[in-house]
Amino acid sequence: MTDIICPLCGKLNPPDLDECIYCQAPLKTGGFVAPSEDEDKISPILTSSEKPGEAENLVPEPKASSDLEQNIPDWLKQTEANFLDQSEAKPKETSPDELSEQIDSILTPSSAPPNPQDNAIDEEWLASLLDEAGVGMPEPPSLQEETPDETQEASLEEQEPEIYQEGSEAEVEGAAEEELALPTQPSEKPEWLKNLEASSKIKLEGELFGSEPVQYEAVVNETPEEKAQEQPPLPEWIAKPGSVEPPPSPEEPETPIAPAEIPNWLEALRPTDAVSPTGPVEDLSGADIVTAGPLAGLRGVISAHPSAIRAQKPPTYSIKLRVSDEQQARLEMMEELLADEEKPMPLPSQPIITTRNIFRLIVAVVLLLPMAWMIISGGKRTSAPQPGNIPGVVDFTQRIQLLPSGVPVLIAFDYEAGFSGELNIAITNVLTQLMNKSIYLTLVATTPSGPALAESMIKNASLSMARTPGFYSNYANLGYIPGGTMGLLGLATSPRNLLPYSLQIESVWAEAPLNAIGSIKDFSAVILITNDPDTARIWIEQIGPQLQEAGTPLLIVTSSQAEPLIRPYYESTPAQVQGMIAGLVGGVAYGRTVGNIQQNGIWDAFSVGITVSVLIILIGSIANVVVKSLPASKKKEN
Amino acid sequence: MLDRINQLADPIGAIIGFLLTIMVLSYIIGDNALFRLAIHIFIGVASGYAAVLILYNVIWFQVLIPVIQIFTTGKMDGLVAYALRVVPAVLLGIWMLTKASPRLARWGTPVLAFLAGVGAATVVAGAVRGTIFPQVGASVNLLNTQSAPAEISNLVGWFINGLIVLLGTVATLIYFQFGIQRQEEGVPVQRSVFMEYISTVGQGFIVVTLGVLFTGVYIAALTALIDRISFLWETILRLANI
Amino acid sequence: MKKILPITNAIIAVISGSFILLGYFFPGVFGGIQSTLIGWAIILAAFALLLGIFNLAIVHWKKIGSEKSSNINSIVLLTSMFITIVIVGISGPTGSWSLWVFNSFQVPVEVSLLAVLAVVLVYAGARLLTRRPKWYTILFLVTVLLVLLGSVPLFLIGEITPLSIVRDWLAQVPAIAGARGLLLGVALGTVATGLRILIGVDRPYGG
Repeated sequence: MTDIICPLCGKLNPPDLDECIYCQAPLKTGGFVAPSEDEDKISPILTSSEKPGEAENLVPEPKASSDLEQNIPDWLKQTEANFLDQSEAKPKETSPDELSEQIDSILTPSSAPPNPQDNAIDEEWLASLLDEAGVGMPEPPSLQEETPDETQEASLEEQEPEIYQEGSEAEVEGAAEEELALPTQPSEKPEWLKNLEASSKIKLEGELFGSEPVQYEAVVNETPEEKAQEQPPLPEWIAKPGSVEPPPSPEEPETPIAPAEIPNWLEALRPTDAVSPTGPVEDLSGADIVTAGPLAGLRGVISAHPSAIRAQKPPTYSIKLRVSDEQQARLEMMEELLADEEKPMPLPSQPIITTRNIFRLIVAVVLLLPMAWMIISGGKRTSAPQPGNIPGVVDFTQRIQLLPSGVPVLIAFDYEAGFSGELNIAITNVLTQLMNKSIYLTLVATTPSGPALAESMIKNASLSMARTPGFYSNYANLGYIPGGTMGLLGLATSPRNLLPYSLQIESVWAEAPLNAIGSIKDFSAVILITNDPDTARIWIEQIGPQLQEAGTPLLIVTSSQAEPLIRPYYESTPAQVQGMIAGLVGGVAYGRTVGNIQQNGIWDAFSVGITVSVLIILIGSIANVVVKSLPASKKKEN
Repeated sequence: MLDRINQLADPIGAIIGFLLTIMVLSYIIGDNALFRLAIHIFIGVASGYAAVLILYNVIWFQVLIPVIQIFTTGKMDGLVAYALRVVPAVLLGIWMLTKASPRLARWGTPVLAFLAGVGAATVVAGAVRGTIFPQVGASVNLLNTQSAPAEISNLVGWFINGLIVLLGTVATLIYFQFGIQRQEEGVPVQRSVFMEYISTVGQGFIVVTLGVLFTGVYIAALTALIDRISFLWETILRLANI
Repeated sequence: MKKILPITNAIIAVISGSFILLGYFFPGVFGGIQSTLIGWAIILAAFALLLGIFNLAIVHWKKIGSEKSSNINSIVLLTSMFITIVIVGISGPTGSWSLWVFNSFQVPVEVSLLAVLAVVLVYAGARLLTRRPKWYTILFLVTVLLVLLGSVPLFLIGEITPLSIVRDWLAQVPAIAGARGLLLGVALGTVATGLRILIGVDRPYGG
């Protein structure tokens, strides 16, 4: 086990001891213990060696146990007893306030004349201390001109600040204990004293404690008289009461500290309008007195006792806001507003009867009625267009007429079902011409509705020829080609792999005439039926070059809406499109060339519709201009 | 029973067509529930027909029937070609189905990248071979004297028309601002005054073309309207005769 | 993986496009590869279409489950799709019942939609000058009127020859000039966009 260092004298002690063998200071206390009633009798040396103003900072002695009391030397006990007799009677159980008063009383020697005998004992002990320190015995109090209290106070004021300002509490206690101990052995100076001397700023007059160390011996069996006789000499500042002002008595008021003289340069720095600085005024009368630890008896300080300083769980404060009823109502309203924002608002149902709808209905009625009348009456008032006046119709007719009989022709049904009304006349006439030549019709489509349209048109053409829908069977409906542009490139390069079977699950490529077809250019002609200019462009771009190489004609049946964008291909040199039938006009014109003229009033209805449309647009535009100019003219007049 | 159904199929179909036509034409007075109902019926029928057509034309004809025929006839010589042509495509198609899942959609991107690459190359080659070269050649040959008419009265017209077409084509291309250098941010793109005039001329040619296109679209729509009126009248007559 | 996958996608697009282009320039060497890749792309396009139709069904199926008032249309759509698949699947795409479904449902609706467009377009043409007209608005309107008047003999008036000549001239000269410029512009843009995809700058497929 390691030795224990005495907190007072700093010497090593065996670990099994409770008190220092040199200075009888407690070794194993858990802190500083408040002095008990027995410990109230503290040597006046302790009080005289302390500054009155710092009485509160004094570390109280540890609480002596029964063993400690037994180890206290008799001379110390006697000294304490003499001092305590001079002081006021203290109750057994002292309160924290009374403790502070006790400390104050300890610090301030009593006004009663000391017992000469006791004084002799004290003086001898102090003298020994002082001799060792090289200070000398203090004068007896009777020889002093000044009052002991005053002298002690003065000396204390001069000498104590240096000691107790710099040292720690342990050092203070050590210094106090040292004064109370019996310094008989000229041993080495304790470390705390050396530290104290080293940290002191203002050197004292002479050394309080000289180079001669204060040696302490464990006096156990000495008699009280021997102990009294063996008291070390008192330090000079203690032995000379005149040089040391006695600490003020508890009855006497503490003398205020004289303010320091402020140098001129510091005075000049003081702000003129500053309020004269006053010391912090703090009323500590209501503060609690520390009951344990080194700060026992002091007011308004944080106790260093572990039991006093306990980590407490900080109080928990509710984070719930204090919301009033009105605020709560507003909060609910805001939440409802936010919730409504997330909900998709249904579009407000627009009323059917609006100005725009009424005008549109009027336009529709004006447009529909004449056309309906034409259809119902079935008239033939409007002359059919001349094929020669329609570009592309004549070339188309010639290309069809140049086809040999029985040859395979590829027909692509790439138009939407909505354009059936416009293209059916042209398609029917073309199919009729091809059927008349027994052309083998190979039907393909790049739109999903193409195969159904193709099949329907074949049946309609058969019906128109022979009054039976299944009349013509010299065709193969190969179905739908997905992929758009890529599908057409595949059709151009390898149609067999792309469309191995017809929609009737027949292997048409194994039989004539398709068994001779290796690529698309092997067909005698390619007829594209489309309403979309982009579809026509893709066909021309992907299939056209191969057809041009082989001289295979590319013929297009298209809608009026695509004709302006296909015309450049037809008008180019060399022509990329060899024949074109566009819209109802082209279909009627082509029908006229093949001898199939419409009799159901559609052409008349078309003529009426165009005429009425022109009138509607003209009248509407003029009306808008007039209506728009009226406010402007009124403004000008005004 | 089946014959009776076949006989009634046409009138029933006509009635259905009649009702659907009225429901769609009701849009003239504004959007309504009947119009939306007719549109949803149309979408369902069109998508269902397209789905079956694809299953027939591609899955059944190109994928399943060839392999069935190979194994039934025992002619394994076409197996390698079939495997090379079809099997990777089917695997890629199944891989592409991961696009249906939001979690796995990222893993189906390579297939779309393949499609995009093939499609882009096809379109580029077609545009160059099928449009740019022939149409530029056609523009150049507008004033080719070999194609000029023999009659002088027509020659002037031919020349003027050719010149107008050539200048119109150039002006239209200039209007599309090809070749304008990028300016600093906030600075409007400015060209020379001469180019601005040419661009305005090109804008005029485009307006005329769009006017002709608009007329073509209107004529097609008017023809469809005439066809519907004719269909409605014929249906009324048919039902009246029944 | 986040960086590797986009680069891999771009490499796939570039390589596949390169083989297609090489097939145009060197058909003897790369023609077979081109044909094979095109065949794969066509089958993939069919799968893409099937995926789109499946997605349409799923979207409307989820709408039915959302308990909204507009789900009656989704029910009608899914019902008509299912019935059509059954009928066309049994009868075949060109069977009599398939054609009956096609001609009874699809054709009337599509033609009617285009017919409604006629009323809308003529109404829009009548209101063209509602706003402050500019020179190109007037030019557009004049062109429309001239082409309409010259496309068909007018009712009770007959064919007006000057109008027919003007209409023919408009369709053959300035319209072709503008159309050729449009086609060349579209083709040049297509080439530019396609080349951007083929060199990996544009990635419309994502990533």
